[in-house]
Amino acid sequence: MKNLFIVVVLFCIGCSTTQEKLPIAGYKDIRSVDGKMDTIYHTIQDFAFLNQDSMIITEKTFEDKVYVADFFFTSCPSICPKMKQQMLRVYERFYDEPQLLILSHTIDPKHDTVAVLKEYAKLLEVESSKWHFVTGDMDKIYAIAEKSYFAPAGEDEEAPGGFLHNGAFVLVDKDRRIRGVYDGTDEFQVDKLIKDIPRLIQEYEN
Amino acid sequence: MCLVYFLMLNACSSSVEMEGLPEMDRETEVKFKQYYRDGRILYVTYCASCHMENGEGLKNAIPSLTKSPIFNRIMEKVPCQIKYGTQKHSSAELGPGMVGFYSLSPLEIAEITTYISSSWGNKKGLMTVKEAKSLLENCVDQIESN
Repeated sequence: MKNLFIVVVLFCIGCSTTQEKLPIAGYKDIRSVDGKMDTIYHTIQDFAFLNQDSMIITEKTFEDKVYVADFFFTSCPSICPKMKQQMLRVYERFYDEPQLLILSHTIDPKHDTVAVLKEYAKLLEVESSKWHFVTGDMDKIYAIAEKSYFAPAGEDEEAPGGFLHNGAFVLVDKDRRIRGVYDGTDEFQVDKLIKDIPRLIQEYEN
Repeated sequence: MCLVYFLMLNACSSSVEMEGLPEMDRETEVKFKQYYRDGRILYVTYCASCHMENGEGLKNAIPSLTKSPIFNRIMEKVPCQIKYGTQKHSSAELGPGMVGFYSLSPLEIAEITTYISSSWGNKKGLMTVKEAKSLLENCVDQIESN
């Protein structure tokens, strides 16, 4: 009985959340700005893609918002259904939180046209104002995946479905900095993402 | 720590829920349990990436296999669907419905069918390899009528 008590106490301590800020991922550059030393963090570059409603989506769409980004394609047989299932958890959990948006990029723009993405979003029963499915220029999508989001994707004949990509969910803050990268096929990591999102939003309220 | 407890709990839940399944004699029950166990391993290998380990699928994009009244009526259609996939889809733009697993043997198909027909609220019980073989011989008719 005493042992059980100790275990429960350790359990509670081990699993309590801390109030520390989320880390900022990517390269840091320390520069002198107006005589002061300033840290320049890695940020997501400007972009322009088309979403499922044929609306042009740019970095301005996410101004003053926190968002989760990922890369997928609709005919993906391997990890994408699991990723979408997990992203739906994020969508449903933060449906009433206006400061959280979701941005899914297709890495197969040839097949995944606006019409296809529209159909896909309809099947998942999600609203486009909350969860954008975007398509666009293939090179630009691959470039932003690799250079901005650190989630490289590309055509690969030998990969299931013909495209290679990892299942990363990237959490981006209001300053376009990456604050977390989570494996979208891992329920536990998505649990952590769901815990981290309110923490990130909270940072801006202080 | 949380993970260890979770794994321990999960390890003990691999037995099949027999309640509600059709009456089986001793020999059939043994066969059923064997098919169920093997079918589960096959399901996780081939089917779970889309239909998910809990059988729920993905909203309307990937159909759920859980306690579906339609599914319960048409267990006989499942072997052909597993082998040849399905043509039906809500939109031609999204491409073919389910991809077929042509290389699976009739026994493997019988095992998967047994597993999914007896899980998540479905209570159909055993499909023998004999039944699966005979159904698989008539797939052409099923595909054409879809």
